[in-house]
Amino acid sequence: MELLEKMVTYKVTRMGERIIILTFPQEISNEIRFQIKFYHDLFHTNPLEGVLQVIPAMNTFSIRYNPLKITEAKILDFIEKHPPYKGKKPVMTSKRVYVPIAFGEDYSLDLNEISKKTGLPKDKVMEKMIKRDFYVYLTGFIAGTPYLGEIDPDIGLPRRNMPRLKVPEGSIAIANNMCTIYTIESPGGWNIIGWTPMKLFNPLNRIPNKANMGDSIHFKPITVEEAENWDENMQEKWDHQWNR
Amino acid sequence: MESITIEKSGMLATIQDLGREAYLSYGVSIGGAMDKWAFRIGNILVGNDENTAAIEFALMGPKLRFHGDGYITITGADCSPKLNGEPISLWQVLKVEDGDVLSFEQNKDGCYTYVAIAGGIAVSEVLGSKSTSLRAGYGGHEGRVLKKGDRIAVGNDAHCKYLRLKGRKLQNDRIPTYKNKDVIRFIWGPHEDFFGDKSKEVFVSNPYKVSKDSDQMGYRLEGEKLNRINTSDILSYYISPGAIQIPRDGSPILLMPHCGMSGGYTVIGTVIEVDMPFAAQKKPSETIFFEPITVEEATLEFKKQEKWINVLKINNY
Repeated sequence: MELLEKMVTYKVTRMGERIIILTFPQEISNEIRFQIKFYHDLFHTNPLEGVLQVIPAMNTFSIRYNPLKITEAKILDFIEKHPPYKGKKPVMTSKRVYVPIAFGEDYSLDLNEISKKTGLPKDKVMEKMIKRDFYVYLTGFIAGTPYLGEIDPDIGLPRRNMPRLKVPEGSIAIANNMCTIYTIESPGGWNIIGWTPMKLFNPLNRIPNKANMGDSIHFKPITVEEAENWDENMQEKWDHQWNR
Repeated sequence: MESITIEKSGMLATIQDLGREAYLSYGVSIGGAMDKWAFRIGNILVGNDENTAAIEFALMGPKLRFHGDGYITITGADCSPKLNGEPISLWQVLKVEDGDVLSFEQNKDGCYTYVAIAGGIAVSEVLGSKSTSLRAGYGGHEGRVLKKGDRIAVGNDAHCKYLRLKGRKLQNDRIPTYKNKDVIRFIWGPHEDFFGDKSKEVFVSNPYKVSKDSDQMGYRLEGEKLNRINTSDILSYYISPGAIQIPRDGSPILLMPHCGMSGGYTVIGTVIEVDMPFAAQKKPSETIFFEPITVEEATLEFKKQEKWINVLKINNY
């Protein structure tokens, strides 16, 4: 049985009378990530009457409940009785999702600047995007936007000073140590590095996201031509080859 | 009733229900009606399940023509509703007949109005809800506002017992006057520690005006700015409607039902469940005073509200 080397302590905070938040230190670490995933799985395998939803994020685990059905004390007691990695191992059903990425003048709007600011040639910057798995910390915003980490520290840059008013759907962008994919067109200040024709969010599916918290995303390069001609058939072929 | 045609569009007229709570962890906004209390009352009065799709609009009403006989109730903001040109009352069940026209005039109180129809609006569910997400472009009627010429289908109203609907209305002392309610109660946190006592004092003793830049995602508030004593960044985390975010410029934003479900700004406090409908009914340039209460008090208020709603439901069916 795998035991967590050290358990990270959290603070219990609140957002109104219906949400409690387990707040871990303001940092991204494997220990915190495992603990959050553990609690997420715990509530999914042992549903508590009155707990409506649990929402994992980078360093927080939020529990939304109906105070007419369960008390905060009962929820916290339940959590204390189930310490991470003691007793039984949590279900880790993570998958790796391959996402095509196209680099090109129209799609990598900030690639030149990233290259200039980091002193790395453009091909090295691109290489760093396709050479590693990115963990899905949370799917957020309003349409399943994945927050992915961590990127190679060599290409870590702060957000742009002036956010763009419109970032096209499918844009892949980086900021600080994180990476994201814009699932709908929206304003945004992240540095745009590439574009994907693959739809990661489809509200018509029972599970709207292709990748969820606990999964990982791996980018694979495609040409601009392939990206521009992408259709359902190509997506099907792609999923058949990479995401079975 | 079989269907409704939109003869004039109004402002932000959409189909809403109670939203998509079950999909929060997939990164989907709750959305749904801005004033969920008025929305629920409308449905309950007209004999529907409280989560039945209805029409919502802001400040300026659409003109609707009904096809087939049926029952409706108007709740929420008072926009001087008229049936075939004759003034009608809010918060009560009205019988309408084939060809009747519902229109609205001057807004007198509140911001969001609901038209609940016996049988509800029949559109397909997207992610477990019929509500329109304008920002993400799905749900409701083609993911957009209702426009002149749209014809929307009405659901089966066989379960609404017509005889029992007649004359049904909300008791007078329960009918809210939104403009009179300017104290909105909240619970401190989760990030009240980031603010000094001085800022916290400023926050609870000054009026905040709803800015013109407000929308269904959030109400921007103009007033005394709030300074943080701890200026460190926080990582993106789950946020909920009701959260009062304080971005770097110090001007509060009260998050509304269509807000994103994650964010990276500090939240000084969270408006309690039973006061959110009143906050949502504030119009641009109206003011809010924030009053802190405890979790226990808020839970009690919530219990009282739900108990009363349950009694209303039992009396109705």
